[in-house]
Amino acid sequence: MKKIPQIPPRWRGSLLGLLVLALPAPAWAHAFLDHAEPAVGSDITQSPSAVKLWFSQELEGAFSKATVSDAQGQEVDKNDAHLDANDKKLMEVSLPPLASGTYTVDWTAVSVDTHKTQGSFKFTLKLKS
Amino acid sequence: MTTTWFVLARAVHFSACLLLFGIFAFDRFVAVAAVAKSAAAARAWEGYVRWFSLLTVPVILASGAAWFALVAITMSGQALSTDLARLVWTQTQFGTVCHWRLLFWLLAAIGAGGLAFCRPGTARRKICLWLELFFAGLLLGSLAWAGHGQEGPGAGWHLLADVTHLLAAGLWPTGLLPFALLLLKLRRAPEATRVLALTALVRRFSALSLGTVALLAATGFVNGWFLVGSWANLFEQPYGRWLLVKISLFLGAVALGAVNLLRLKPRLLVEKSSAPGAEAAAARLQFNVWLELALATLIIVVVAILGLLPPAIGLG
Repeated sequence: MKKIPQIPPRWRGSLLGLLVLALPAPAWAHAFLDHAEPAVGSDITQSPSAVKLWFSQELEGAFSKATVSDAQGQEVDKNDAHLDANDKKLMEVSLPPLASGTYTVDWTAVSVDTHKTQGSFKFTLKLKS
Repeated sequence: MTTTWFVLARAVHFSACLLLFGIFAFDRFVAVAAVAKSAAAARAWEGYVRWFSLLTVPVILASGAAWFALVAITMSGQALSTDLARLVWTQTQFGTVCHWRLLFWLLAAIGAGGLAFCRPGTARRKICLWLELFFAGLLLGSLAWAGHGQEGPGAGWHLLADVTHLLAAGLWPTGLLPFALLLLKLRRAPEATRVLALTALVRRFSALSLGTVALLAATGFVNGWFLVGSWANLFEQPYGRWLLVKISLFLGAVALGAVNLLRLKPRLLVEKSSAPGAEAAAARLQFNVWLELALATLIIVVVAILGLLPPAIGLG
């Protein structure tokens, strides 16, 4: 009786191994800005007490920072950028009362995976006279 | 330039951790069957275990320290200093993981040194070997925490998959190196029973490889679920393209494995009573295994590169 051909064990394993390579090696994640208050590119009519930045990953507070500058490039925040005690994805920096104008938020985020990302965005304050 | 050093440090560290675990796993699960049939191979294998463990232990520490320093520099954007190192060590998640990994390294180092005082063939040595396997497994598996930042309901499964994936990689393809060395030794052994030892070695390693590749596939699927997201990302994102490089390297190893199993292993088993025929098959198998090992080494380098890239998911 003719023997039914069998796939050798290692060949079966290698075929399974093809699945491995449809799949990636473990990688670390980077923290990207998810949303902010004031929102990115927004026009607001009230001076915010703080800029809040929500990220996609938890951050390392010791190396993450954010600054707010006016249209002349002068830093206007209170230099107290910190992570929220209950949410390590939220970084905030306090602000004094601001005048009307366009402001730039520059942020540096170091995720708990040790990767650093940076970015900036603007918002415009138009106080009601 | 920093990126190059980063890749190098990670690749060396990963390789050394894989090798330390792989040598002891191979000893416990594969070599034991072959060296029982060849006294010459048994003596050589004890030497391999001793030298590989004594070599990899300091390399793990040195490359781990280099990795820590490079992480501190890239996180801070500053030159390395004592204060910076202390800040990273005490104030970051990466630092916390390093505490534990240093402890695991210490246990593995003591275990490796202690083996020198365990006489071959004794129950005490067997216990020491299993303990060293355990410590080396802790050191290798804990790499999953070194950069792990996934959150959400699936984070636990992802972490479990990462740990299992690392340990499986320690069995195969890492096991190819001790396999190649023992194969070479058995081919040169003087005893008439060396062919029996050879076939026992090939059978055991084949069985181990099959199970390990299945485990790699399953855990790789889980990782892919979390990190890639779509077929488009595989071709359009840097992470996906490097993954395709890894796939190409693996296909090369698969092709060599197919030759080994379809053509060489049957010749080795059928001709075990005919020394010259078995020797020719073993020689060809040896050559192919070295090639597989070269491809596996390149795969580890690609893995080190992949670890520096943002996952493709969410970028497409």
